[in-house]
Amino acid sequence: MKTLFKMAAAATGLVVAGLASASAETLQIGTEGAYAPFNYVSENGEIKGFDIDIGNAICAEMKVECEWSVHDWGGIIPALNAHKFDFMVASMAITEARMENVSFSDPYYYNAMRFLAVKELALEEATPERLKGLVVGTQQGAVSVPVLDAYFPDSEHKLYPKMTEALMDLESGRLDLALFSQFTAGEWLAGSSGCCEFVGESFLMDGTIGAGIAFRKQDDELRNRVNAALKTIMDNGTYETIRAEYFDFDIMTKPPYVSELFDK
Amino acid sequence: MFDLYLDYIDRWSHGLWLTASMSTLSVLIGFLVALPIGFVRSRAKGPLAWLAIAYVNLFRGMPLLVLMFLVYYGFGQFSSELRAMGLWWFFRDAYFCGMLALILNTSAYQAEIIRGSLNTISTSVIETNAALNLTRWTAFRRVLLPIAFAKALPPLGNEYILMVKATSLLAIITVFDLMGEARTIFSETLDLGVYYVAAIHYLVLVLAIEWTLRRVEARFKWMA
Repeated sequence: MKTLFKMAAAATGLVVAGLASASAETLQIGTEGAYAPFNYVSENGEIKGFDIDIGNAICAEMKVECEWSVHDWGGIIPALNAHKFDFMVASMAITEARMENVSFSDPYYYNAMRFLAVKELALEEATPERLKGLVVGTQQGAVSVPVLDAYFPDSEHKLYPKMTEALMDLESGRLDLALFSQFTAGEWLAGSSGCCEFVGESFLMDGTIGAGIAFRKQDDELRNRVNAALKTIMDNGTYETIRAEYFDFDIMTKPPYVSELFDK
Repeated sequence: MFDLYLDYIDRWSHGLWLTASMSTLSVLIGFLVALPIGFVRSRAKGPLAWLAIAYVNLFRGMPLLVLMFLVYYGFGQFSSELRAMGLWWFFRDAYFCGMLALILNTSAYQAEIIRGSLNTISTSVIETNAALNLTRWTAFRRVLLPIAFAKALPPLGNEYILMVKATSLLAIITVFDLMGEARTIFSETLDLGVYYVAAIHYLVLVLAIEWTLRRVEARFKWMA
């Protein structure tokens, strides 16, 4: 009887231990898989991108196993709250509205805006005085339009239906400058004929916070662990190594807000 | 809705002016281009006639949107060559490019209208010219052309009104006509009332054009 009890206890212990080790080692991460180069599904079905590399680096730092899954953007917050995965690395912009449903890590990158200019102009800086009388293009209805209206009233603004068309006009010389997200502009710059360059500092729209990793609101303990790991990889250079594989410019340091940069 | 108009009155006036001036100018210049082409289509045979047919088919067969895109962005691809040829000042400017596309498009349609009206002039008129011993040039200038013009006026007016609405495509090459301004105002206000204001602008403009055309038609009516 005693031996039987011991065996049962040992067996239960084994099962419990097995469960415990499994749950401590594996975390489920959700992403969208349709936002290259941040997160996308490659031709042979692998989930790849900057978000995935950062997520994996965080997992390695926390010494846990991570498994990725892709979810529709429209239902990705409900999926997180329905425990389909444990946290989300999907380039989600931190906003007040989203914070009602989820909590966010510290920003893990910033999507800043920056001017592109024709090299011949040799501008070196992009201040309202320097851009006086020059032709600046951007996309109709984009967040850059109010920036141009508010801070660059003495430049001529040309609005295009699509970003690619403005970039074509920058390349042909109809535009002197274009104002876009640093990511899209940088990607285009890499494949362009070498006509153009970034000028001036990159800047953030007032009120934007950056992209964050999202958690269920009650999972504060996990959020703190991820924040700590994120800080470590940012400090020890792992982050920069990953970033350099995707982008030629800094996305980790918080850029100034547009009002800080151009007011007075 | 009235405040949508008043708050953005500068934008609306700019859009209205652009739509009215570009459609009017393109129809007038288009008419001058269409006149010889229509005449050749109606009277000539041989290589000249083939050229005229090719022109009409090319620019009538191509959607205005495509034509605008090709003239503006297409020529933009050859900016260094155009610079070398001294033509870049023209193609650099979105307004000129838009005007060129509008003229190419409307002249092809107008050439067909002119051809049609020249073809309907009865042979007795031509015989009368011969009987009066008029030279071919005088007969054309003083008799055939005025009659053809009078007959062509209603369809030409129709073409003018179509062009007023066609200018809304100019926004794709950064020229903001009424519709382009309306879209900009909409992106700021997200109020669908903006499009009612735009529609009223178009209506008023078309009514003004119709009123003018009716008066011109009345003057030429006895000939048509």
